Amino acid sequence: MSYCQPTQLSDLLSCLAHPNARILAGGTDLIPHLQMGLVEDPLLVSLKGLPELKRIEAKPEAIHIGPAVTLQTLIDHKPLREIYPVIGQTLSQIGALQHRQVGTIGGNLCLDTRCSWFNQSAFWRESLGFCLKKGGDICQVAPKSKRCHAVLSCDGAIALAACQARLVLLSRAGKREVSLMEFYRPNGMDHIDLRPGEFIYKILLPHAPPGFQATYFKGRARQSFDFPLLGLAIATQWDGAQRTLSFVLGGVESCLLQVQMQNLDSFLTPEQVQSAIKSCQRLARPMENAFYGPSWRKKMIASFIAQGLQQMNLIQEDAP
Amino acid sequence: MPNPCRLMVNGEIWEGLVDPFETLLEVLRERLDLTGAKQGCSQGECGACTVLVDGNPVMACLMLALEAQNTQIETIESLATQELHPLQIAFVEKGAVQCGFCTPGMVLSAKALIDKNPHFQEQDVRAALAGNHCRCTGYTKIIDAVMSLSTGAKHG
Amino acid sequence: MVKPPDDPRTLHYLNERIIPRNQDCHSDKTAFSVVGKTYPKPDAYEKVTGKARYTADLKRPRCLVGKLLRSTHAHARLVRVDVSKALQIPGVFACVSGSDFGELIGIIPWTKDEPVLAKDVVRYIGEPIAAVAATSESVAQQALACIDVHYEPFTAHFSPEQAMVPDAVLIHSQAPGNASKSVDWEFGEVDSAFARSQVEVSGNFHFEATTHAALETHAVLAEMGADGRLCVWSSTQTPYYLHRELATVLGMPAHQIRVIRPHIGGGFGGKSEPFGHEICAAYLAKQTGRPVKFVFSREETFLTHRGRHAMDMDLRIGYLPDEGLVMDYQALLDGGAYSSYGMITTYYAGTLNAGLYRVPHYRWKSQRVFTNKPPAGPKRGHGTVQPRFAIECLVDQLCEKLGRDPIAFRRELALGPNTETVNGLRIGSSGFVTCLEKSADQSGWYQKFRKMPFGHGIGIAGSWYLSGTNYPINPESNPQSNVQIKADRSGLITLFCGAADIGQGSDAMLRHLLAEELGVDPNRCKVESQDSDICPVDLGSYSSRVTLMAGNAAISAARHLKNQILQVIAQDWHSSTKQLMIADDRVFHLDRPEQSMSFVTALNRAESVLGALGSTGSYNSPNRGGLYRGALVGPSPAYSFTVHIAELEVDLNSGQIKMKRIVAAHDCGRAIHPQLVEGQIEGSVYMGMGEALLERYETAKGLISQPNLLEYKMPTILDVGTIESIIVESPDPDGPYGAKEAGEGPLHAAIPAIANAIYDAIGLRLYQTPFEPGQILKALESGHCYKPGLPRELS
Repeated sequence: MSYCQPTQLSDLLSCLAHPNARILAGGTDLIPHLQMGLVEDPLLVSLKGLPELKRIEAKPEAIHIGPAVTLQTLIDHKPLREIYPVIGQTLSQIGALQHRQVGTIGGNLCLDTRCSWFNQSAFWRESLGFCLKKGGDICQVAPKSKRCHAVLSCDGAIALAACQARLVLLSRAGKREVSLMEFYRPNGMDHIDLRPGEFIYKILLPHAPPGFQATYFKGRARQSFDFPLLGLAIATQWDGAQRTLSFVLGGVESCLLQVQMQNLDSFLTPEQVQSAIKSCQRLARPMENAFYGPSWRKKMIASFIAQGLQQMNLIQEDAP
Repeated sequence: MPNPCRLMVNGEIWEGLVDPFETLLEVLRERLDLTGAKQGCSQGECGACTVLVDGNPVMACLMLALEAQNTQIETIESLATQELHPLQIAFVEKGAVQCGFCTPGMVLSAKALIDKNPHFQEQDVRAALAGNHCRCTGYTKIIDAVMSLSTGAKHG
Repeated sequence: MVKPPDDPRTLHYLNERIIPRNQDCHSDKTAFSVVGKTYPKPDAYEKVTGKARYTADLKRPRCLVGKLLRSTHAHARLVRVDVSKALQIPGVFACVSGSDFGELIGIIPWTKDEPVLAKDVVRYIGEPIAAVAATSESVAQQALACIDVHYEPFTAHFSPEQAMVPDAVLIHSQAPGNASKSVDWEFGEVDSAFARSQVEVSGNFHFEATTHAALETHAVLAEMGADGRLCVWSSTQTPYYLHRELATVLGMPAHQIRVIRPHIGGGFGGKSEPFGHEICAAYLAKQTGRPVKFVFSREETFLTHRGRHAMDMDLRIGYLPDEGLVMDYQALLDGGAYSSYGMITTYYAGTLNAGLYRVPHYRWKSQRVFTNKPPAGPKRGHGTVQPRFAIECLVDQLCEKLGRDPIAFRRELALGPNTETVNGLRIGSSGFVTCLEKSADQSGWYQKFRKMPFGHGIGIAGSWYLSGTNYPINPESNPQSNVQIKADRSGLITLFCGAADIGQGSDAMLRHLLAEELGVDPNRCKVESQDSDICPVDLGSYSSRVTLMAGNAAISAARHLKNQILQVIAQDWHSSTKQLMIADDRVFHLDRPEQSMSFVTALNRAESVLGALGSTGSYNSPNRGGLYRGALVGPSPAYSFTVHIAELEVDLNSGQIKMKRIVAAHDCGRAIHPQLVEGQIEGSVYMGMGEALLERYETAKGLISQPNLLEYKMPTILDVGTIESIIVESPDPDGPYGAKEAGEGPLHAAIPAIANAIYDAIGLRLYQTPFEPGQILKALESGHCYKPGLPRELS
């Protein structure tokens, strides 16, 4: 195992060309993986030497966020808090303060998918059977399935997607831009669309459209430390005539899930609320691989949507 | 392959060769004999190894030693020189110490809070200590100890 | 109807113990100068500065790293364990396996069934098979990977039901039906009492297994001295039992062994028996001539377990207005692969049930079964937490059926002071009724119970617990606790006692008693308790025994020392010792106000006359308890009492519980060091709350599903709400200055109090821990939830 700390972007790209290269950002996900033998013989590529990846810049077309910006920096960033309070609201629910101090936004977006059969020591996995994601040939959660069902667990991605963030990906082959929604794929073993040698160079956050508001709900057992058992962001825009609504879900699939509703009136009808809940629940496929089971997590979708729409004043109070 | 590493710990420079995978916690405990940072889980799930890096609480088991270069690292051993830090006195006097295994990390997390915000309230204490498990006290006396140093509500 | 003893050995054992009670432990003292006051815990300074060394922090020159190879099979024949390849790796100094050890180990002398390292059979995933000592962690890991192990799997049993099936494969050949221990008793006339009971309630309860999760993982360091003596530093609650086991297994004379207990990062019962890794460390140190240190990973500590038994309980309670309660109770305990403390757990699963309230008719059957899982053992409140959950929930149901207020009803039923339970447990003092009153006042019970809006609830539960056991684990006639005191001409008084301070503060407690009895400043008193070479034997920190037993021994020794000093001074002053007293660090003459002398001067004077000053004190518990088999588990010199009132909110959107407040009143007899007592109460409440709401030691195919602190959900500081402790004092004649335990008893009631509060909030009865939001949410959605006490259509 070795380590490098490039100080030039070009050096970084060369390091990343190494087949076993692993970006070491905050390390809060990677280091436990190393401890458990889930990553073998990596070349650790530190981002410490590249201050340009730690910048937050407001540009005319979008806010540019470097991948190595720490979660706590984003939470404390005043201008961002004013434009997108949902981001701070979400990020402050990640891990504990110690994780947010070193954990980065790029690291959060690239957080490996999680599963009770995968996030285990080599001893544990040897005893109970290796899984598709590491060393085995079946998914222990869904043995008949051909794919891995480890769960996307990064709260940050859920909120950023609701804010329509886009990513600039960079490699020696060049730059490309993807939406955050497209960045994730429904395959727990290979859930992010990063090509060999590529990394998240920037996160682009569009300036908030008119009448934008958003909120985030996190299902978890404890108020600290825990990954989301379900993460749900609700975002809405109102241009004076029409409302659009977007529900982004995480923690219930290997990728992000989204339900969008357009051409709505100012307030939602009870039927529309039910339809939103049904659509989200239909998409979500929580499995028996997290602390609370699939049924609670599915029910919480309905609960979060109802609470969120209420909080955002999108449901008209009944006339007295 | 060992890499050269230079750390600034409690105001002293330490230089040596470390494995890339060696965590800051291992270097502090094994090389510098600073065993105040405790190893409770090695995976960032208990907070017993909390140290301050540039004044911020960080779990030393989740930071590679090489990544801690060019920072100021403070461990519990630096807190008291001739006299105990007020937080240490408060922990002793309020009965916030039982087995003591979480104490160094708890004190440092609390120090980061009070250094930044002397007007903290109970909810700030809880938020600041939410990354530090204590298995003995039920947290009651830890909250009492830290709250005894609050300068009260922010005015204006 | 108590049956006669059916085991001659039991009776014999009882008769042998005719040690006179240590009368001078008991004091009628009522005014105190140190007791009841809070002084900083002496070890807190080292701990708060990071100077305190725990076992893993200790460094010895040329120390080798010890590592264990663990079984990856739940139940298999070990066809081959070949360590020869591992021994060839450079840097590997020794490697041992089961065949290196002849003796089986186990804390209970009658159930030693655990090998140091598995031999012939492995019985759970994670069971140690081989141990290696190498120059580094990575070499040790490499060596483990080279050990050739060949398994031949057997059918494994993952539940008691599975293990009890007729003809099931046996986990231990000497245990037919995989029965580890069973108890079957009836006291009073249960069936006829039910027939005439006014109201009856019943339920099937399940208590999920939980584990201690002390923040410090297990660790041990062993070294052979040049003089041929073995020194073992270990994270243990029971250094004396470790000492004894090391001598037996290693075949060494006990006087050649020194056990040091460094600072301990929490125990809660998880470190209260000798373990294979401790024996291995010593053996490897002997073999290599170098120090060997084992530090467990968090996962290894989870695998070592000895946590709270999962228990299935059937409980039926009837109410007899003039008599009290009739109780019919059955428990099935999932024991895991070895006995550990299981024999005792099986008794504890029933023996305290017939107390707290008047229960003149009690039938009890409990059965512990071996399964292929890590051994369950003692966790804070050993074996009694599970049934107390069931009882207090059903008592709440009784109140509801009878239309009685839960506090008034409990007060009426309370078994008062100086009483005896139907199964022969003698209660001295009891502050239970005061606990009820004080917790009710502080929590605002009468303004809140059944009066808060739907979703908000308040619930109450009581419990009691023992302050050490009259009959120790090891039937020997030596005292259960010994103390020596050395008084130095410098004025320093040092108390030596092997009682293990595991963080609870027993050193501070002993220092308090010493200073109180001598009438001196606690700051001139010091307690040495870590080193078996210099500290006389105390049996260890388990069963909440230390305050009462070591405390009484300390008072006794301090009194002897005081008498020595006062006799010399009395002679000088031509007076009798009865006319002298020591207070505030001075010796006074009671009748001559002008005559006094500093304590240090008196000490020097006494030394010049008597020579070296020192004294000893011992404690042995009284022979009490019924005369039937099993009657020896449960009797305690004194019992503590607790009441919890829990207030919470059920999140109607998620079914999750938001704890607001738990008010816990605990009768500890006398609070020697009130701050430490509060700390014990608060910590117990927290731990009980964790078991009620979050923690579960869940296994899949015999292996804990999530052996880490991320998924073993200990409550964080954001989850616990407010915990308020109330100290109630009902001095017990058997306790030091009346003190009883405070370390375990305040845990039990948290769980049923929370369950009863959930009922008050949404009308849902819960029978299974932890109380899962999924279950609560399902009930909320079903529309069957309501506000108890209100007509349903209104709630």
